[in-house]
Amino acid sequence: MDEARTQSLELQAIIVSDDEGDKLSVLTEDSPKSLLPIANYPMIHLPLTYLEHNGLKDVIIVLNKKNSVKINAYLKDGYKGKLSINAVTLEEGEDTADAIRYVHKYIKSDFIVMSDDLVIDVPLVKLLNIHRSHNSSATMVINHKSKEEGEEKDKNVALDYVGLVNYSPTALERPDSFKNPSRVVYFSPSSQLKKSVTVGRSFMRKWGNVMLSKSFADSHLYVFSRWVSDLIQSRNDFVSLKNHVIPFLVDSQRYVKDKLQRHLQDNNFKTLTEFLESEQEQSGNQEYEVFPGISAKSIARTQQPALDMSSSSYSLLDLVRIYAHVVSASSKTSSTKNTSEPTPSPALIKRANTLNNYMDLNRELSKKGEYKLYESMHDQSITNAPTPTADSSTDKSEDHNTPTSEEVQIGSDCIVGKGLQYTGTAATQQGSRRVSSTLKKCNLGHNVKIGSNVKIANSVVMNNVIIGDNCTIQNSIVCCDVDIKPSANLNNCQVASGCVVEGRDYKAEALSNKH
Amino acid sequence: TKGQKGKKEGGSQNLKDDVLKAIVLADSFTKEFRPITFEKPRCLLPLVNIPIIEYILELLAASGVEEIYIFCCSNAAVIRNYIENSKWVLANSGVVVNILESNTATSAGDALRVVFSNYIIHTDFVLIQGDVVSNIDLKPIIQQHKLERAKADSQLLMTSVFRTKRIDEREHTVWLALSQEQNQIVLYENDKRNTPLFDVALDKFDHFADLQLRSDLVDCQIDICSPDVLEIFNENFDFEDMRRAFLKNYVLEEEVFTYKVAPYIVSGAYSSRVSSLRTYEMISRDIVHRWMHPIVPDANFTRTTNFKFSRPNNYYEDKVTLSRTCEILIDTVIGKHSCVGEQSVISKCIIGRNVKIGAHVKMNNSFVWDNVTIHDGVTLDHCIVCDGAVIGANAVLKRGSVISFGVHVDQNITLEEHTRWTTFVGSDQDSHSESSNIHIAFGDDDDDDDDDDDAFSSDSDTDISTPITPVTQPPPQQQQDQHLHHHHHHHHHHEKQLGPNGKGVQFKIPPYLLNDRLNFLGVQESDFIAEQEYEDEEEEEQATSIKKDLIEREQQHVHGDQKGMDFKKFVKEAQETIRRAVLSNHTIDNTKLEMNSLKYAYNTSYSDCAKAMLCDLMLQVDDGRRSSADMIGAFDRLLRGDGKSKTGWSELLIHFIRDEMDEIDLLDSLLDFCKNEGKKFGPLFKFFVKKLYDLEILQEESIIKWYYGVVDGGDSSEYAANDVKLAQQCTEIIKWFETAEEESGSESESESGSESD
Repeated sequence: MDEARTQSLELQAIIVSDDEGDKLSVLTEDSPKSLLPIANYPMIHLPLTYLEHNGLKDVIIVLNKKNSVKINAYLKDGYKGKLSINAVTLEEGEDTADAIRYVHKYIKSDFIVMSDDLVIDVPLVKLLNIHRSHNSSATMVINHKSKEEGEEKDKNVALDYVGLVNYSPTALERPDSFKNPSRVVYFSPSSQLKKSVTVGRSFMRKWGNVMLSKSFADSHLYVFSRWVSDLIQSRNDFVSLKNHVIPFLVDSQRYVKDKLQRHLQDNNFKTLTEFLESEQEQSGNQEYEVFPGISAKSIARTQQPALDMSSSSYSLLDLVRIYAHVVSASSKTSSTKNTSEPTPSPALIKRANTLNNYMDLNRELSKKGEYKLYESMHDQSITNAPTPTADSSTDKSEDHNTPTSEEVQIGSDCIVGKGLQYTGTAATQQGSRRVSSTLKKCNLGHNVKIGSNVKIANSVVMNNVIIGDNCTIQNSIVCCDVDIKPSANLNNCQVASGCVVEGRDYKAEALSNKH
Repeated sequence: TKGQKGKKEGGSQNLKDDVLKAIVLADSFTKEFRPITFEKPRCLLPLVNIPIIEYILELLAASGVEEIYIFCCSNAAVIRNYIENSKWVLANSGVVVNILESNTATSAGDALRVVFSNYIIHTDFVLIQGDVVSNIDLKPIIQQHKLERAKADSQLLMTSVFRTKRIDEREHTVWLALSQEQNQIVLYENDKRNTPLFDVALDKFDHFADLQLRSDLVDCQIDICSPDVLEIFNENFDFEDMRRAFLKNYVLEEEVFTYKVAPYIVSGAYSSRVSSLRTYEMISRDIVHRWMHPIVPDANFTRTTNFKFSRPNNYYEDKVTLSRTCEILIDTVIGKHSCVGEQSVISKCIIGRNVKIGAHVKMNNSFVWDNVTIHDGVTLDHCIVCDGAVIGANAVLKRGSVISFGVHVDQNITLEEHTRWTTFVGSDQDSHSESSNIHIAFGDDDDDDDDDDDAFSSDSDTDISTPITPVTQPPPQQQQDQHLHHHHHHHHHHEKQLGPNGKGVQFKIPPYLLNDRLNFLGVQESDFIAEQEYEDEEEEEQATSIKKDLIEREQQHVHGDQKGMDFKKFVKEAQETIRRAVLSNHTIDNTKLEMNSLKYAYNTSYSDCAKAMLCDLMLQVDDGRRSSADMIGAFDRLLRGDGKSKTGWSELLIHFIRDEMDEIDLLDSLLDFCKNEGKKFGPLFKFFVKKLYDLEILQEESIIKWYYGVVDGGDSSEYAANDVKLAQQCTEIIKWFETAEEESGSESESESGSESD
């Protein structure tokens, strides 16, 4: 690839926040969602790490007014990565397409848009391969959920109805699958549908064989051609990428080619090139517009011509093309079945936008050896951290403040921040033997104080939490600066920052200061 | 009859249950072939010089079927006569062919009920339409069907065969939603003409995670049925056809799928139905192009022909006489004892036996059956010429002409495109009452789509003609004579159309055939494209009309019914205009012109224009996704424009509002609109009013006047209670108007007071 080409393919990345469907309960009472810890890192750190590891240099982050101060502060002082970050605060509107419109002036090339709560370990190069080799207008990551995953849990989780052409689950595994990717021909979030998925005659004529499913989930990671930003700019009725821009683009694939072909025929142009050249010559004339304000020329120019010029002149007219990189984030059970072949570890694609997902992500990223991308994040943080105690797996660290394994037994799938203290008062009073506390599958923040006979399992405990003796915490999330009195029993609870929790039983409650 | 008796005996023996049986619905005539089928059942028409029925029998025999029942309503005698003189009666044919006959059967459903009541079938069987031409091997399909049926609790009722469409092939496809996982048909649609939109209900996704939407498949009309199918038909005596009544409305309509119909998708095989002149032409060509391999002309599979291949791709039987100077270009088939004269040029034609073609004849893409005489200098283009016809010298038969049995076309006659000619008496339907009688009498309502004509129509052709002339018995020659004699007076000009020595009259193509011109002979690519464009427009209309329905209803309500239809049209067009204008950002002046011309065309008022515009603008505001606040914002943007590139539409509205009454009218229709779109727009009513006021479309005075007109209407008020409720949203605005007035009033008072001081 020559220099000029590399230049033109340089990508910009934009991180946007999509607050739609946030169901994080009381967790966001005192902290922006993007700063909630996942495996002891602020959530925003994860997409940044992803982009950095996939070779990007510059990132634009679009922040909402209400949380920009805190996040800016973090990016300035807390963030230790190598990306150069341009954080802008959205003046009006708050949805994703608003964000793109707001930063339109910065967009000079094809661009990646990523949601700020997305944790993903699909190599970006897979998308880019598709995007570049097929001249894609937009390329997205579709997460093919397994059946059980699709049916699980709360029913109010938004679904996407997606139709793909050329979808073959078996072909996904092949390394050259990018050569023949699935094309997205139908896209509608379930919130946009009333009773049925309705497609027209022209749709049916155009696409002969469509796989339509609600288990194809949009992952909120997109690569767009540059002209799409112009489109968004020209259409201020587009508010959200997912609800407006993507459905519009997907639908327009149906007619743009025919429209353009008719125009070419009416004007006696034989090929697209001929037509574009003639528009070049008579620049005074009005250019033929595919969408209001978006000329065919500008699309053809920013979408690089296909690498294989073998494609017929007619298929070149197919200007708007949306492709998907389909990943099946299958559950572990299915991947361990075929032991004959070394199966790649299942892809991780999850947005931390529900309590379940937030818990899952904390748990997943605490596992060792699964997600290399985000593990290197830990390594990197160790080298940058001021003290060696900021380790992710503290079993081995020998700081004198750190409790011994007799005092606190820490399971292997735990992440524990620095400054953990054992305050086993009950044990000393009993005088006989100190009763140890146990941590299983949980993430503890920094400077947590734990009493004796405490059991924490499947939970997230953030910084500066004090946990009294004989407490049990299961499947719960405890935010910063919470004081949990002895003998409290939390099961399936969320505790907002700064709460004082009495020593009794709580089940499936959200504890908040604001009452 | 013979067949029925044989079957009863067979049924009583359990041993015989292993015998694979097939039912051929032979009488599934469409009306597409008229007037030809007035005189010969379709399944006996020659297709590349072999009767259509032979292809089906061959297909079934090759697939291991041992007993075949050909079901006929009428024409049974003709068909039986044919079978009895064919190779199928020979002992070594390996197949027993029976004729089943019912004079009362009027549909495929009736046929199956007759089969049921005859105790013929006790195991899975093959059901096939009598016009299928195919080389699909049914053995693996039958085997898979049986395997599935053998499973415990199998819900499988039927396996239907589909094939993939060849690229660029013009064949009617069906729309299917399939569950791959369950190997099951979930949705089926073959009436695309009346179905612009394909709807997949969301609750279908509760049963099936993934659905495949397919529009690249052709329904072969070959089913492997379980005996339960017969029982279901027996229990539901109103079921007429397999596809609509049975599959679509019965099996697939159920909330819970009690039964299952499995698709079997074949690719690379050939299967089509001779359902129209167009498909007749297409299939003939496909056979000559060897798509049906191993069924190709020189395979001579019936053993009644002896074609030999000849370069480049022509087929001749023996004893064909070709003059030295004639040119047989390509894709031509010529039967025994036929001859071609000097200097004649023939391309892509299928020619029967004993055909005499003179000199200097030009023929392309035409079908000439047996014993036809074509004199010198004739031109044929995309025509069918049936047995015994005579074409006089220098006659010109333009594209799509159909010359039925025994017609004589005199010399130097030119026949226009797509005209059909016959000597058959009953076909002369030039009186309107007659044809419309037939139309009604035979329930000829909605099966003109050749895709679903498996209705096994009641109107087998002879039946239809019976009311006009008693027909079946007298031999053809006698009929003709009768007819000629009878009609000489009445139809003088018809006779003349074929010349002084001509014989036969023009068959007036009935409207139900004209509906689908794509079924004619010699259809061109441009016809398909035109049809497509028409369909697309219709789809667009349908898609938008779902929303518009609401407004139309409302408009009708306002304006009463007598003007209703016209006004409806106007509203539709006006809204279309505005929608287009907004989408492509037209200028105000252009749109004004367009609206004005509409206004004159439909003789409506300015305020009607304004109302239609407002409603459409509001519809555009709701894209189904926006929140209420966004909708108001979008409305504002739409009306204001951005001062530069985007047009602000308020100016146009203002243009069409002339006085206070217009404003009040506008408010009324806004009220109605918000009421009908209750959920979304209802709560926003006051905001829209406010916006219209802010943009100076509505004046303060008229809003106040309108408001009190609604709210204080009293008992005799034309406004309903919920109208009043909606209007009361504006109480605040009205108050604000009034206080502002008071304030300004009191200010000026105090000012004037101070002055006077």
